[in-house]
Amino acid sequence: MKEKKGAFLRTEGLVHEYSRRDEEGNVTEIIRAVDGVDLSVEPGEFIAVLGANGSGKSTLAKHFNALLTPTDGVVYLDGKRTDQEENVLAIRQLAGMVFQNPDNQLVSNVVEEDVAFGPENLGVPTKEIRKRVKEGLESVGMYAYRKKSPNHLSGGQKQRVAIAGILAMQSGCIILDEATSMLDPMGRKSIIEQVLRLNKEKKITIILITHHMDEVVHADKVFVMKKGKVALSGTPRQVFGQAELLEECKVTLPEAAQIAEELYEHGMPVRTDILTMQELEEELERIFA
Amino acid sequence: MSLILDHVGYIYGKGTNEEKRALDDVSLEIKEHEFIALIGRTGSGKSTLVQIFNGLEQPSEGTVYFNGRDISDKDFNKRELRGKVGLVFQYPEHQLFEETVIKDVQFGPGNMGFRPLDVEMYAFQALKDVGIGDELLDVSPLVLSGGQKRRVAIAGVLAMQPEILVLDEPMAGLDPVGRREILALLQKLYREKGMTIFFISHNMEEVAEVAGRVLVMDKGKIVLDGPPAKVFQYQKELEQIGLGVPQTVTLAGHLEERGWSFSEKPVTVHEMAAEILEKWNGGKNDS
Repeated sequence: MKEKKGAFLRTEGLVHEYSRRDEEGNVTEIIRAVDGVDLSVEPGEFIAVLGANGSGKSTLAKHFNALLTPTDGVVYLDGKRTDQEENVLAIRQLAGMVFQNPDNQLVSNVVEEDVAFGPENLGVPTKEIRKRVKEGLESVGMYAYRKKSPNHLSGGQKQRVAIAGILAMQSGCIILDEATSMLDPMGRKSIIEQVLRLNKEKKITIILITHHMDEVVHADKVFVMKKGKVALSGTPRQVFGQAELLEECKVTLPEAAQIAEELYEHGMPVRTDILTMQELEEELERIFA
Repeated sequence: MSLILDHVGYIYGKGTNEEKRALDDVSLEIKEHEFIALIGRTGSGKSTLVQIFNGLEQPSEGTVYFNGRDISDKDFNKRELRGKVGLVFQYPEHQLFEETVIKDVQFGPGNMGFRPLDVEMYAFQALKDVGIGDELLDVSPLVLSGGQKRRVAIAGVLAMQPEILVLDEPMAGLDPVGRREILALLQKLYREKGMTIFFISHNMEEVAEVAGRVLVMDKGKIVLDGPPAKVFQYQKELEQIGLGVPQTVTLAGHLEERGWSFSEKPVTVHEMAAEILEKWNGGKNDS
Protein backbone atom coordinates (compact mmCIF):
# COMPACT_ATOMS: atom_id res chain seq x y z
CA MET A 1 0.00 0.00 0.00
CA LYS A 2 1.28 3.43 -0.87
CA GLU A 3 1.80 5.98 1.89
CA LYS A 4 -1.42 7.96 1.74
CA LYS A 5 -0.48 11.01 3.71
CA GLY A 6 0.95 12.97 0.82
CA ALA A 7 -1.83 12.05 -1.57
CA PHE A 8 -3.44 15.00 -3.36
CA LEU A 9 -6.64 13.12 -3.93
CA ARG A 10 -7.77 10.09 -2.02
CA THR A 11 -10.99 8.11 -1.94
CA GLU A 12 -11.77 5.56 0.75
CA GLY A 13 -14.57 3.07 0.17
CA LEU A 14 -16.34 5.58 -2.07
CA VAL A 15 -19.90 4.61 -2.92
CA HIS A 16 -22.37 6.62 -4.96
CA GLU A 17 -25.97 5.60 -5.37
CA TYR A 18 -28.59 7.23 -7.55
CA SER A 19 -32.19 6.57 -6.76
CA ARG A 20 -34.97 6.54 -9.28
CA ARG A 21 -38.36 7.72 -8.13
CA ASP A 22 -41.86 7.31 -9.47
CA GLU A 23 -44.32 10.20 -9.86
CA GLU A 24 -45.23 10.14 -6.19
CA GLY A 25 -41.62 10.42 -5.16
CA ASN A 26 -41.24 6.85 -3.94
CA VAL A 27 -37.88 5.29 -4.61
CA THR A 28 -38.34 2.58 -7.24
CA GLU A 29 -34.76 1.60 -7.85
CA ILE A 30 -31.33 2.28 -6.45
CA ILE A 31 -28.40 2.28 -8.84
CA ARG A 32 -24.90 1.96 -7.45
CA ALA A 33 -22.84 3.96 -9.95
CA VAL A 34 -19.67 3.89 -7.86
CA ASP A 35 -19.20 0.82 -5.73
CA GLY A 36 -16.38 0.90 -3.21
CA VAL A 37 -13.52 2.78 -4.88
CA ASP A 38 -10.21 3.24 -3.06
CA LEU A 39 -7.66 5.24 -4.97
CA SER A 40 -5.04 7.84 -4.40
CA VAL A 41 -3.44 10.41 -6.69
CA GLU A 42 -0.15 12.09 -5.86
CA PRO A 43 0.32 15.81 -6.46
CA GLY A 44 1.46 16.49 -10.03
CA GLU A 45 0.44 13.10 -11.38
CA PHE A 46 -1.18 12.56 -14.75
CA ILE A 47 -4.00 10.09 -14.26
CA ALA A 48 -6.20 8.52 -16.92
CA VAL A 49 -9.55 6.90 -16.20
CA LEU A 50 -10.95 4.46 -18.75
CA GLY A 51 -14.09 2.37 -18.89
CA ALA A 52 -17.25 1.76 -20.88
CA ASN A 53 -20.15 4.24 -20.90
CA GLY A 54 -22.02 3.65 -17.69
CA SER A 55 -19.03 2.16 -15.85
CA GLY A 56 -19.15 4.99 -13.31
CA LYS A 57 -16.18 7.06 -14.43
CA SER A 58 -18.05 10.35 -14.80
CA THR A 59 -19.80 9.88 -11.48
CA LEU A 60 -16.44 9.12 -9.88
CA ALA A 61 -14.92 12.28 -11.39
CA LYS A 62 -17.73 14.46 -10.06
CA HIS A 63 -16.68 13.43 -6.56
CA PHE A 64 -13.18 14.77 -7.11
CA ASN A 65 -14.32 18.39 -7.02
CA ALA A 66 -17.29 18.00 -4.72
CA LEU A 67 -19.98 18.21 -7.42
CA LEU A 68 -21.29 15.04 -5.79
CA THR A 69 -20.86 13.89 -2.22
CA PRO A 70 -20.47 10.24 -1.24
CA THR A 71 -23.39 8.01 -0.35
CA ASP A 72 -20.79 6.14 1.65
CA GLY A 73 -17.05 6.46 2.15
CA VAL A 74 -14.88 9.57 2.06
CA VAL A 75 -13.11 11.70 -0.56
CA TYR A 76 -10.23 13.98 0.39
CA LEU A 77 -8.85 16.61 -1.92
CA ASP A 78 -5.66 18.16 -0.63
CA GLY A 79 -6.61 16.83 2.81
CA LYS A 80 -10.08 18.41 2.73
CA ARG A 81 -13.17 16.22 2.99
CA THR A 82 -15.54 16.87 0.08
CA ASP A 83 -18.65 16.20 2.18
CA GLN A 84 -18.05 19.17 4.44
CA GLU A 85 -19.88 22.24 3.17
CA GLU A 86 -17.18 24.67 4.34
CA ASN A 87 -14.59 22.93 2.14
CA VAL A 88 -16.53 23.01 -1.10
CA LEU A 89 -15.41 26.41 -2.36
CA ALA A 90 -11.74 25.70 -1.65
CA ILE A 91 -12.03 22.33 -3.38
CA ARG A 92 -13.63 23.80 -6.52
CA GLN A 93 -10.85 26.39 -6.68
CA LEU A 94 -8.29 23.62 -6.43
CA ALA A 95 -9.83 21.32 -9.01
CA GLY A 96 -11.43 22.63 -12.19
CA MET A 97 -13.57 20.40 -14.32
CA VAL A 98 -14.34 20.39 -18.05
CA PHE A 99 -17.37 18.38 -19.09
CA GLN A 100 -18.20 16.39 -22.18
CA ASN A 101 -21.10 18.59 -23.17
CA PRO A 102 -20.00 22.24 -23.29
CA ASP A 103 -23.60 23.44 -23.47
CA ASN A 104 -23.88 22.61 -19.77
CA GLN A 105 -20.87 24.73 -18.99
CA LEU A 106 -20.97 27.97 -20.97
CA VAL A 107 -22.81 30.63 -19.01
CA SER A 108 -22.19 33.93 -20.74
CA ASN A 109 -23.29 35.54 -24.02
CA VAL A 110 -19.77 36.54 -24.99
CA VAL A 111 -16.87 34.13 -25.28
CA GLU A 112 -14.34 36.23 -23.36
CA GLU A 113 -16.79 36.88 -20.53
CA ASP A 114 -17.34 33.18 -20.27
CA VAL A 115 -13.64 32.51 -19.90
CA ALA A 116 -13.38 35.31 -17.31
CA PHE A 117 -16.23 33.87 -15.27
CA GLY A 118 -14.12 31.35 -13.34
CA PRO A 119 -11.25 33.65 -12.32
CA GLU A 120 -13.73 36.43 -11.49
CA ASN A 121 -15.41 34.14 -9.00
CA LEU A 122 -12.02 33.41 -7.49
CA GLY A 123 -11.48 37.14 -6.90
CA VAL A 124 -8.59 37.48 -9.34
CA PRO A 125 -7.72 41.16 -10.07
CA THR A 126 -9.16 42.51 -13.33
CA LYS A 127 -5.82 43.13 -15.02
CA GLU A 128 -4.71 39.58 -14.28
CA ILE A 129 -8.05 38.24 -15.55
CA ARG A 130 -7.56 39.99 -18.90
CA LYS A 131 -4.15 38.40 -19.26
CA ARG A 132 -5.43 34.94 -18.37
CA VAL A 133 -8.42 35.22 -20.72
CA LYS A 134 -6.12 36.16 -23.58
CA GLU A 135 -3.66 33.35 -22.81
CA GLY A 136 -6.42 30.80 -22.30
CA LEU A 137 -8.19 31.63 -25.56
CA GLU A 138 -4.93 31.78 -27.50
CA SER A 139 -3.83 28.39 -26.25
CA VAL A 140 -7.02 26.75 -27.56
CA GLY A 141 -6.96 28.76 -30.80
CA MET A 142 -10.14 30.71 -30.04
CA TYR A 143 -8.83 34.24 -29.43
CA ALA A 144 -10.27 35.46 -32.73
CA TYR A 145 -13.74 34.51 -31.44
CA ARG A 146 -13.46 36.39 -28.13
CA LYS A 147 -16.25 38.87 -28.90
CA LYS A 148 -18.63 36.29 -30.38
CA SER A 149 -21.56 34.62 -28.75
CA PRO A 150 -20.97 30.98 -27.75
CA ASN A 151 -24.34 30.19 -29.34
CA HIS A 152 -22.85 30.76 -32.77
CA LEU A 153 -19.98 28.34 -32.21
CA SER A 154 -19.79 24.69 -33.27
CA GLY A 155 -19.76 21.93 -30.67
CA GLY A 156 -15.99 21.56 -30.87
CA GLN A 157 -15.43 25.32 -30.60
CA LYS A 158 -17.62 25.47 -27.49
CA GLN A 159 -15.56 22.68 -26.03
CA ARG A 160 -12.40 24.71 -26.60
CA VAL A 161 -13.92 27.76 -24.91
CA ALA A 162 -14.86 25.61 -21.90
CA ILE A 163 -11.27 24.38 -21.71
CA ALA A 164 -9.93 27.95 -21.95
CA GLY A 165 -12.17 28.84 -18.99
CA ILE A 166 -10.62 26.13 -16.85
CA LEU A 167 -7.08 27.05 -17.96
CA ALA A 168 -7.78 30.66 -16.90
CA MET A 169 -8.62 29.52 -13.39
CA GLN A 170 -5.06 28.18 -13.04
CA SER A 171 -6.16 25.62 -10.53
CA GLY A 172 -3.79 22.99 -9.18
CA CYS A 173 -5.79 20.17 -10.69
CA ILE A 174 -7.70 19.86 -13.96
CA ILE A 175 -10.31 17.18 -14.46
CA LEU A 176 -11.26 16.55 -18.08
CA ASP A 177 -14.38 14.42 -18.48
CA GLU A 178 -14.29 13.41 -22.14
CA ALA A 179 -13.66 17.05 -22.80
CA THR A 180 -12.19 16.50 -26.26
CA SER A 181 -14.96 14.25 -27.58
CA MET A 182 -16.13 16.76 -30.20
CA LEU A 183 -12.76 18.07 -31.31
CA ASP A 184 -11.06 17.34 -34.59
CA PRO A 185 -7.78 15.39 -34.40
CA MET A 186 -5.57 18.51 -34.43
CA GLY A 187 -7.72 20.28 -31.87
CA ARG A 188 -7.61 17.23 -29.65
CA LYS A 189 -3.88 16.86 -30.06
CA SER A 190 -3.19 20.50 -29.21
CA ILE A 191 -5.40 20.40 -26.11
CA ILE A 192 -3.73 17.21 -24.90
CA GLU A 193 -0.28 18.68 -25.54
CA GLN A 194 -1.28 21.81 -23.62
CA VAL A 195 -2.50 19.72 -20.72
CA LEU A 196 0.67 17.61 -20.74
CA ARG A 197 2.75 20.78 -20.69
CA LEU A 198 0.86 22.13 -17.68
CA ASN A 199 1.46 18.79 -16.01
CA LYS A 200 5.22 18.74 -16.77
CA GLU A 201 6.04 22.42 -16.31
CA LYS A 202 3.63 23.58 -13.64
CA LYS A 203 3.13 20.23 -11.91
CA ILE A 204 -0.63 20.56 -12.34
CA THR A 205 -2.41 17.33 -11.46
CA ILE A 206 -4.35 16.05 -14.45
CA ILE A 207 -7.23 13.62 -14.33
CA LEU A 208 -8.25 12.65 -17.82
CA ILE A 209 -11.38 10.64 -18.47
CA THR A 210 -11.30 9.49 -22.05
CA HIS A 211 -12.09 6.89 -24.68
CA HIS A 212 -9.03 7.76 -26.76
CA MET A 213 -6.33 5.23 -26.02
CA ASP A 214 -3.60 7.31 -27.59
CA GLU A 215 -4.18 10.00 -24.93
CA VAL A 216 -3.62 7.43 -22.22
CA VAL A 217 -0.16 6.14 -23.14
CA HIS A 218 1.60 9.11 -21.50
CA ALA A 219 -0.24 8.84 -18.18
CA ASP A 220 1.59 8.02 -14.95
CA LYS A 221 -1.24 5.82 -13.84
CA VAL A 222 -4.38 4.39 -15.43
CA PHE A 223 -7.55 3.30 -13.68
CA VAL A 224 -10.04 1.15 -15.59
CA MET A 225 -13.58 1.21 -14.25
CA LYS A 226 -16.12 -1.58 -14.59
CA LYS A 227 -19.57 -1.57 -13.01
CA GLY A 228 -18.60 1.09 -10.49
CA LYS A 229 -15.38 -0.57 -9.35
CA VAL A 230 -11.76 -0.09 -10.31
CA ALA A 231 -11.19 -3.32 -12.25
CA LEU A 232 -7.63 -2.62 -13.26
CA SER A 233 -4.96 -0.07 -12.42
CA GLY A 234 -1.28 0.53 -13.04
CA THR A 235 1.03 2.11 -15.57
CA PRO A 236 -0.28 2.18 -19.16
CA ARG A 237 2.01 -0.72 -20.05
CA GLN A 238 0.80 -2.81 -17.11
CA VAL A 239 -2.83 -2.06 -17.90
CA PHE A 240 -2.66 -2.62 -21.66
CA GLY A 241 -0.83 -5.89 -21.00
CA GLN A 242 -4.05 -7.33 -19.57
CA ALA A 243 -5.84 -7.91 -22.86
CA GLU A 244 -8.53 -10.22 -21.53
CA LEU A 245 -9.45 -8.09 -18.54
CA LEU A 246 -9.54 -5.03 -20.79
CA GLU A 247 -11.96 -6.72 -23.13
CA GLU A 248 -14.25 -7.47 -20.20
CA CYS A 249 -14.09 -3.77 -19.36
CA LYS A 250 -14.92 -2.96 -23.01
CA VAL A 251 -11.67 -1.08 -23.48
CA THR A 252 -9.75 -1.50 -26.72
CA LEU A 253 -5.98 -1.50 -27.23
CA PRO A 254 -4.17 1.43 -28.86
CA GLU A 255 -3.83 0.96 -32.64
CA ALA A 256 -0.11 0.18 -32.45
CA ALA A 257 -0.83 -2.58 -29.94
CA GLN A 258 -3.55 -3.95 -32.22
CA ILE A 259 -1.12 -4.19 -35.12
CA ALA A 260 1.56 -5.80 -32.92
CA GLU A 261 -0.99 -8.31 -31.70
CA GLU A 262 -2.02 -9.22 -35.24
CA LEU A 263 1.63 -9.66 -36.26
CA TYR A 264 2.32 -11.81 -33.20
CA GLU A 265 -0.68 -14.02 -33.93
CA HIS A 266 0.71 -14.63 -37.40
CA GLY A 267 4.00 -15.82 -36.00
CA MET A 268 6.15 -12.72 -36.15
CA PRO A 269 8.53 -12.35 -33.18
CA VAL A 270 7.30 -8.88 -32.10
CA ARG A 271 7.24 -7.54 -28.56
CA THR A 272 3.70 -7.79 -27.23
CA ASP A 273 3.85 -4.77 -24.92
CA ILE A 274 3.97 -2.15 -27.66
CA LEU A 275 1.80 0.95 -27.05
CA THR A 276 2.83 3.61 -29.55
CA MET A 277 3.48 3.75 -33.28
CA GLN A 278 7.02 4.90 -32.49
CA GLU A 279 7.67 1.76 -30.47
CA LEU A 280 6.21 -0.35 -33.27
CA GLU A 281 8.42 1.40 -35.81
CA GLU A 282 11.53 0.70 -33.72
CA GLU A 283 10.49 -2.91 -33.23
CA LEU A 284 9.99 -3.40 -36.98
CA GLU A 285 13.38 -1.83 -37.62
CA ARG A 286 14.94 -4.34 -35.19
CA ILE A 287 13.16 -7.33 -36.73
CA PHE A 288 13.85 -6.43 -40.35
CA ALA A 289 17.43 -5.24 -39.73
CA MET B 1 -31.87 8.67 -54.49
CA SER B 2 -29.84 11.55 -55.74
CA LEU B 3 -28.81 14.67 -53.88
CA ILE B 4 -27.03 17.43 -55.77
CA LEU B 5 -25.62 20.68 -54.43
CA ASP B 6 -24.88 23.15 -57.18
CA HIS B 7 -22.59 26.07 -56.20
CA VAL B 8 -24.08 26.26 -52.72
CA GLY B 9 -22.99 29.03 -50.36
CA TYR B 10 -24.17 29.86 -46.88
CA ILE B 11 -23.67 32.99 -44.82
CA TYR B 12 -24.66 33.21 -41.17
CA GLY B 13 -26.15 36.40 -39.79
CA LYS B 14 -26.29 38.04 -43.21
CA GLY B 15 -26.42 41.80 -42.91
CA THR B 16 -25.39 41.83 -39.25
CA ASN B 17 -21.94 42.49 -37.80
CA GLU B 18 -21.72 38.78 -36.94
CA GLU B 19 -21.74 37.87 -40.62
CA LYS B 20 -19.79 34.70 -41.25
CA ARG B 21 -19.40 32.57 -44.34
CA ALA B 22 -19.97 28.91 -43.47
CA LEU B 23 -20.15 27.40 -46.97
CA ASP B 24 -18.30 28.64 -50.02
CA ASP B 25 -19.27 27.44 -53.50
CA VAL B 26 -19.90 23.78 -52.65
CA SER B 27 -20.81 21.53 -55.56
CA LEU B 28 -21.44 17.92 -54.70
CA GLU B 29 -23.32 14.93 -55.98
CA ILE B 30 -24.40 12.09 -53.71
CA LYS B 31 -25.54 9.02 -55.60
CA GLU B 32 -27.69 6.08 -54.61
CA HIS B 33 -26.00 3.58 -52.27
CA GLU B 34 -22.88 5.52 -51.43
CA PHE B 35 -21.17 5.33 -48.02
CA ILE B 36 -19.63 8.76 -47.51
CA ALA B 37 -17.65 10.25 -44.62
CA LEU B 38 -17.18 14.00 -44.20
CA ILE B 39 -14.15 15.22 -42.27
CA GLY B 40 -13.01 18.73 -41.41
CA ARG B 41 -11.96 20.87 -38.47
CA THR B 42 -14.51 22.15 -35.99
CA GLY B 43 -16.14 25.19 -37.54
CA SER B 44 -15.25 24.22 -41.13
CA GLY B 45 -18.92 24.11 -42.16
CA LYS B 46 -19.70 20.41 -41.83
CA SER B 47 -22.82 20.71 -39.68
CA THR B 48 -24.15 23.55 -41.84
CA LEU B 49 -23.67 21.43 -44.95
CA VAL B 50 -25.74 18.53 -43.62
CA GLN B 51 -28.49 20.89 -42.47
CA ILE B 52 -28.70 22.18 -46.03
CA PHE B 53 -29.27 18.60 -47.22
CA ASN B 54 -32.71 18.30 -45.65
CA GLY B 55 -33.81 21.89 -46.03
CA LEU B 56 -33.34 22.79 -42.36
CA GLU B 57 -31.10 25.64 -43.55
CA GLN B 58 -31.70 27.50 -46.82
CA PRO B 59 -28.59 28.13 -48.88
CA SER B 60 -27.70 31.82 -49.34
CA GLU B 61 -26.41 30.96 -52.82
CA GLY B 62 -26.82 28.08 -55.24
CA THR B 63 -29.35 25.28 -55.57
CA VAL B 64 -30.05 21.92 -53.94
CA TYR B 65 -31.69 19.19 -56.00
CA PHE B 66 -33.24 16.12 -54.37
CA ASN B 67 -34.11 13.37 -56.86
CA GLY B 68 -33.78 15.89 -59.62
CA ARG B 69 -36.05 18.57 -58.17
CA ASP B 70 -35.05 21.97 -56.80
CA ILE B 71 -35.95 21.84 -53.11
CA SER B 72 -36.57 25.58 -52.95
CA ASP B 73 -39.49 25.28 -55.41
CA LYS B 74 -42.73 26.52 -53.93
CA ASP B 75 -44.59 23.27 -54.59
CA PHE B 76 -41.77 21.08 -53.25
CA ASN B 77 -42.91 19.11 -50.22
CA LYS B 78 -40.54 20.20 -47.43
CA ARG B 79 -42.01 17.84 -44.86
CA GLU B 80 -41.47 14.88 -47.14
CA LEU B 81 -37.87 15.99 -47.65
CA ARG B 82 -37.24 15.93 -43.89
CA GLY B 83 -38.31 12.31 -43.93
CA LYS B 84 -36.46 11.26 -47.07
CA VAL B 85 -33.22 12.87 -45.95
CA GLY B 86 -33.01 11.51 -42.41
CA LEU B 87 -30.76 13.73 -40.31
CA VAL B 88 -29.36 12.47 -37.01
CA PHE B 89 -27.97 15.38 -34.98
CA GLN B 90 -24.95 15.45 -32.66
CA TYR B 91 -25.81 13.77 -29.37
CA PRO B 92 -29.31 12.93 -30.67
CA GLU B 93 -30.17 11.14 -27.43
CA HIS B 94 -30.52 14.55 -25.77
CA GLN B 95 -33.70 14.92 -27.78
CA LEU B 96 -35.40 11.77 -26.55
CA PHE B 97 -38.43 12.97 -24.67
CA GLU B 98 -41.31 10.48 -24.79
CA GLU B 99 -42.24 8.21 -21.88
CA THR B 100 -41.34 5.02 -23.70
CA VAL B 101 -38.88 3.92 -26.33
CA ILE B 102 -41.55 2.90 -28.82
CA LYS B 103 -43.43 6.20 -28.48
CA ASP B 104 -40.25 8.12 -29.06
CA VAL B 105 -39.50 6.23 -32.24
CA GLN B 106 -43.09 6.70 -33.47
CA PHE B 107 -42.92 10.45 -33.06
CA GLY B 108 -41.06 11.19 -36.33
CA PRO B 109 -43.09 8.95 -38.65
CA GLY B 110 -46.25 10.10 -36.83
CA ASN B 111 -45.52 13.59 -38.09
CA MET B 112 -44.97 12.43 -41.64
CA GLY B 113 -48.63 11.73 -42.31
CA PHE B 114 -48.22 7.94 -42.57
CA ARG B 115 -51.19 5.73 -41.64
CA PRO B 116 -51.17 4.79 -37.92
CA LEU B 117 -50.60 1.12 -38.72
CA ASP B 118 -47.60 2.01 -40.87
CA VAL B 119 -46.23 4.28 -38.15
CA GLU B 120 -46.27 1.34 -35.76
CA MET B 121 -44.75 -1.04 -38.23
CA TYR B 122 -41.99 1.38 -39.25
CA ALA B 123 -41.12 2.04 -35.60
CA PHE B 124 -40.94 -1.66 -34.72
CA GLN B 125 -38.83 -2.39 -37.78
CA ALA B 126 -36.46 0.53 -37.09
CA LEU B 127 -35.90 -0.60 -33.50
CA LYS B 128 -35.25 -4.11 -34.74
CA ASP B 129 -32.76 -2.76 -37.30
CA VAL B 130 -30.78 -0.87 -34.65
CA GLY B 131 -30.73 -3.92 -32.37
CA ILE B 132 -33.07 -2.74 -29.61
CA GLY B 133 -34.90 -5.80 -28.27
CA ASP B 134 -38.66 -6.09 -27.64
CA GLU B 135 -38.10 -6.08 -23.86
CA LEU B 136 -37.02 -2.41 -24.11
CA LEU B 137 -39.95 -1.10 -26.16
CA ASP B 138 -42.01 0.03 -23.20
CA VAL B 139 -39.28 1.28 -20.89
CA SER B 140 -38.36 4.93 -20.49
CA PRO B 141 -35.50 5.99 -22.79
CA LEU B 142 -33.88 7.49 -19.71
CA VAL B 143 -32.96 4.11 -18.23
CA LEU B 144 -31.05 2.99 -21.32
CA SER B 145 -27.25 3.04 -21.63
CA GLY B 146 -25.59 5.77 -23.69
CA GLY B 147 -25.11 3.49 -26.69
CA GLN B 148 -28.69 2.24 -26.51
CA LYS B 149 -30.11 5.78 -26.31
CA ARG B 150 -28.10 6.75 -29.36
CA ARG B 151 -29.47 3.75 -31.27
CA VAL B 152 -33.04 4.60 -30.26
CA ALA B 153 -32.51 8.14 -31.53
CA ILE B 154 -31.24 6.75 -34.84
CA ALA B 155 -34.26 4.43 -34.99
CA GLY B 156 -36.49 7.51 -34.67
CA VAL B 157 -35.00 8.83 -37.90
CA LEU B 158 -34.97 5.44 -39.66
CA ALA B 159 -38.66 5.02 -38.90
CA MET B 160 -39.39 7.97 -41.19
CA GLN B 161 -38.22 5.73 -44.07
CA PRO B 162 -35.37 7.94 -45.28
CA GLU B 163 -33.66 7.28 -48.61
CA ILE B 164 -30.43 8.68 -47.24
CA LEU B 165 -29.29 8.64 -43.61
CA VAL B 166 -27.16 11.65 -42.63
CA LEU B 167 -25.42 11.56 -39.25
CA ASP B 168 -23.52 14.39 -37.54
CA GLU B 169 -20.74 12.75 -35.50
CA PRO B 170 -22.73 9.62 -34.69
CA MET B 171 -19.92 8.05 -32.64
CA ALA B 172 -18.97 11.12 -30.54
CA GLY B 173 -18.83 10.48 -26.82
CA LEU B 174 -19.36 6.72 -27.05
CA ASP B 175 -16.94 4.17 -25.62
CA PRO B 176 -15.01 1.96 -28.05
CA VAL B 177 -17.62 -0.78 -27.88
CA GLY B 178 -20.46 1.69 -28.42
CA ARG B 179 -18.56 3.15 -31.39
CA ARG B 180 -18.15 -0.31 -32.90
CA GLU B 181 -21.87 -0.95 -32.49
CA ILE B 182 -22.82 2.23 -34.34
CA LEU B 183 -20.26 1.57 -37.08
CA ALA B 184 -21.57 -1.97 -37.48
CA LEU B 185 -25.11 -0.60 -37.64
CA LEU B 186 -24.19 1.85 -40.41
CA GLN B 187 -22.47 -0.94 -42.33
CA LYS B 188 -25.53 -3.15 -41.94
CA LEU B 189 -27.92 -0.44 -43.15
CA TYR B 190 -25.63 0.16 -46.12
CA ARG B 191 -25.14 -3.49 -47.05
CA GLU B 192 -28.42 -5.16 -46.14
CA LYS B 193 -30.91 -2.33 -46.61
CA GLY B 194 -29.05 -0.74 -49.49
CA MET B 195 -29.23 2.67 -47.81
CA THR B 196 -27.14 5.67 -48.71
CA ILE B 197 -25.10 6.73 -45.66
CA PHE B 198 -23.43 10.08 -45.06
CA PHE B 199 -21.67 10.69 -41.74
CA ILE B 200 -19.42 13.30 -40.15
CA SER B 201 -16.50 12.03 -38.11
CA HIS B 202 -13.28 13.17 -36.46
CA ASN B 203 -11.90 9.67 -36.24
CA MET B 204 -9.73 9.04 -39.29
CA GLU B 205 -9.25 5.37 -38.45
CA GLU B 206 -13.00 4.76 -38.44
CA VAL B 207 -13.49 6.74 -41.63
CA ALA B 208 -10.80 4.67 -43.35
CA GLU B 209 -12.40 1.47 -42.17
CA VAL B 210 -15.97 1.94 -43.34
CA ALA B 211 -16.35 4.74 -45.88
CA GLY B 212 -16.25 4.21 -49.61
CA ARG B 213 -15.75 7.92 -50.24
CA VAL B 214 -14.27 10.68 -48.08
CA LEU B 215 -15.01 14.39 -48.41
CA VAL B 216 -12.67 16.87 -46.76
CA MET B 217 -13.95 20.33 -45.81
CA ASP B 218 -11.86 23.37 -45.07
CA LYS B 219 -13.17 26.88 -44.54
CA GLY B 220 -16.52 26.08 -46.10
CA LYS B 221 -15.11 24.40 -49.21
CA ILE B 222 -14.74 20.77 -50.19
CA VAL B 223 -11.03 20.43 -50.85
CA LEU B 224 -10.59 16.67 -51.29
CA ASP B 225 -13.00 14.00 -52.50
CA GLY B 226 -12.20 10.34 -53.15
CA PRO B 227 -11.86 6.85 -51.66
CA PRO B 228 -10.07 6.78 -48.27
CA ALA B 229 -7.06 4.91 -49.65
CA LYS B 230 -6.51 7.85 -52.03
CA VAL B 231 -7.54 10.81 -49.85
CA PHE B 232 -5.36 9.76 -46.91
CA GLN B 233 -2.24 9.71 -49.11
CA TYR B 234 -2.42 13.54 -48.92
CA GLN B 235 -0.92 13.61 -45.45
CA LYS B 236 0.86 16.94 -45.81
CA GLU B 237 -2.17 18.71 -47.24
CA LEU B 238 -4.48 17.27 -44.58
CA GLU B 239 -2.14 18.31 -41.78
CA GLN B 240 -1.85 21.80 -43.25
CA ILE B 241 -5.59 22.31 -42.85
CA GLY B 242 -5.45 20.98 -39.30
CA LEU B 243 -6.60 17.45 -39.97
CA GLY B 244 -4.78 14.19 -39.59
CA VAL B 245 -4.46 10.83 -41.27
CA PRO B 246 -4.95 7.36 -39.80
CA GLN B 247 -1.98 6.51 -37.57
CA THR B 248 -1.00 3.72 -39.96
CA VAL B 249 -0.32 6.27 -42.72
CA THR B 250 2.07 8.15 -40.44
CA LEU B 251 3.79 4.90 -39.52
CA ALA B 252 4.09 3.95 -43.19
CA GLY B 253 5.65 7.35 -43.91
CA HIS B 254 8.27 6.80 -41.22
CA LEU B 255 8.98 3.31 -42.51
CA GLU B 256 9.45 4.72 -46.03
CA GLU B 257 12.12 7.00 -44.62
CA ARG B 258 13.78 3.84 -43.37
CA GLY B 259 13.75 2.36 -46.86
CA TRP B 260 10.44 0.50 -46.95
CA SER B 261 8.16 0.98 -49.91
CA PHE B 262 4.39 0.95 -50.15
CA SER B 263 2.42 1.23 -53.38
CA GLU B 264 -0.22 3.00 -51.29
CA LYS B 265 0.13 3.71 -47.57
CA PRO B 266 -2.20 1.41 -45.58
CA VAL B 267 -5.14 3.24 -44.00
CA THR B 268 -6.39 0.57 -41.57
CA VAL B 269 -4.85 -1.64 -38.89
CA HIS B 270 -5.57 -4.79 -40.92
CA GLU B 271 -4.06 -3.38 -44.09
CA MET B 272 -0.95 -2.32 -42.17
CA ALA B 273 -0.56 -5.72 -40.51
CA ALA B 274 -1.08 -7.43 -43.87
CA GLU B 275 1.64 -5.29 -45.52
CA ILE B 276 4.13 -6.02 -42.74
CA LEU B 277 3.34 -9.74 -42.79
CA GLU B 278 3.77 -9.84 -46.55
CA LYS B 279 7.23 -8.31 -46.18
CA TRP B 280 8.02 -10.72 -43.38
CA ASN B 281 6.90 -13.81 -45.30
CA GLY B 282 8.46 -12.57 -48.54
CA GLY B 283 11.73 -12.04 -46.72
CA LYS B 284 11.60 -15.56 -45.35
CA ASN B 285 11.00 -17.07 -48.79
CA ASP B 286 13.93 -15.16 -50.25
CA SER B 287 16.39 -16.56 -47.78
